[in-house]
Amino acid sequence: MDDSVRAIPSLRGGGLSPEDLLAQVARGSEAAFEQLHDIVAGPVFGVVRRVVRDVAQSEEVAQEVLVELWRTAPRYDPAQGSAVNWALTLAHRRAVDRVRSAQASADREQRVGTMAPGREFDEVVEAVTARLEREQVRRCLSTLTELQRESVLLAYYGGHTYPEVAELLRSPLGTIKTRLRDGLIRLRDCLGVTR
Amino acid sequence: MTTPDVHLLTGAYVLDALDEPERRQFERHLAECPECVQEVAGLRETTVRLGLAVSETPPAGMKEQVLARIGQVRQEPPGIGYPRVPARRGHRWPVRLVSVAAAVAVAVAAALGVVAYQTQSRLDAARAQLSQVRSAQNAVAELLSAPDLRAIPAQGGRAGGGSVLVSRQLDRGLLFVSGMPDQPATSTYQAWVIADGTAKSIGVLGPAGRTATPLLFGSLGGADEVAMTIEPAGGSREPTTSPVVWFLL
Repeated sequence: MDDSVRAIPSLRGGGLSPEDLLAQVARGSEAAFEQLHDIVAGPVFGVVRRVVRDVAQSEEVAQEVLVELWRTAPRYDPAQGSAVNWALTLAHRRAVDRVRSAQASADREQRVGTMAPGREFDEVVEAVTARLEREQVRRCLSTLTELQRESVLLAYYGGHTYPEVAELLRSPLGTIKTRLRDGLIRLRDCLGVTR
Repeated sequence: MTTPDVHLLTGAYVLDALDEPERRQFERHLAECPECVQEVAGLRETTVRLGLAVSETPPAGMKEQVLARIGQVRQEPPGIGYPRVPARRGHRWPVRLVSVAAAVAVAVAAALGVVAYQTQSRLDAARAQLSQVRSAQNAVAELLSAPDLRAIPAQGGRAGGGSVLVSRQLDRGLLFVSGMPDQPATSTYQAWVIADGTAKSIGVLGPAGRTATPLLFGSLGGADEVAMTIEPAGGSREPTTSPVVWFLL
């Protein structure tokens, strides 16, 4: 699981691992939180921004996520995943919560209904491709079938539910459900995620 | 839904692509499917890689705001479980203030006969806290039965309002405000008693600017006014802005 941490030099820093820091945060250390913040704020903001898009709203959500990280630190159990994993899980859930809130979902439904197929997907892919700092992720994404890749990207970066993904890609629900799973499995194996 | 079908949802689950009912259903399934737990762990770690790939420098100033906010947020007790996104809620009140508020709410509700809007469970919860805050309750009960009790309406509130109940004899008052706009995390409402042009703080009304809670205060002295201002988070030593609401005693 440490692969993801090792792979990003900026995440290694000196001294304590994110997990050590989070353990100290759980005991109320604001100093440890500040260090942990510096490690996870970029990924957290990046994920939220990808899903929420609007910069001001993204900052608001990212702040909520980081405060949530502080608040829930005592519940962190290293057996369940890395500290960065914990932070990004929280970030993604908060972000999709925001875009699925009442008003937003009304807008989205309309958008999903009227959008030309593929347009949003192109946007996502373009943005992601441009930003993919990680050669490996890009390379592994290219090993997925087109439908697997589109499904995974629309769900993760687009924050769409799988029925929305199915509608966007004009595919049956069951197909998308399966593609999300086998796409991620292929990605997992290509990336060498060992859990 | 049969078990194999549920199992197929691992991908959609870690991508947060399930709606609420399906997510709950899947989590129930997880509790009794060790293979699913294993698969979810690996797939979740995979989504983390997708997240790291789009890391982006946060806006300037975000860190300072986050660090300022955590100083006001109490941590949860240890427990088990992946982070859940709870219903959105504001900052927690300090325990003492909550207890006083609960006692005050019950006493005031009983005294003014406005219990109807309270649900039974809220009353029960408030009553449970009541036993711990007998003295605050007594202070409020005493105030409410003071022979010289006066209710003073708010002035100046463009949004929201409230009143001050005051007894000169007991040298004590109770401030209510409600419907005031919430303040951003960087600022807060602060209440003052003013005597001869000198303001003395009687409290910061909640880190998130929630103002629906009564605030008990004493040492009125010769005060002629109670006022509320907007101050930087944490409050100020003396008012730094013009009052948004005031009460002429």
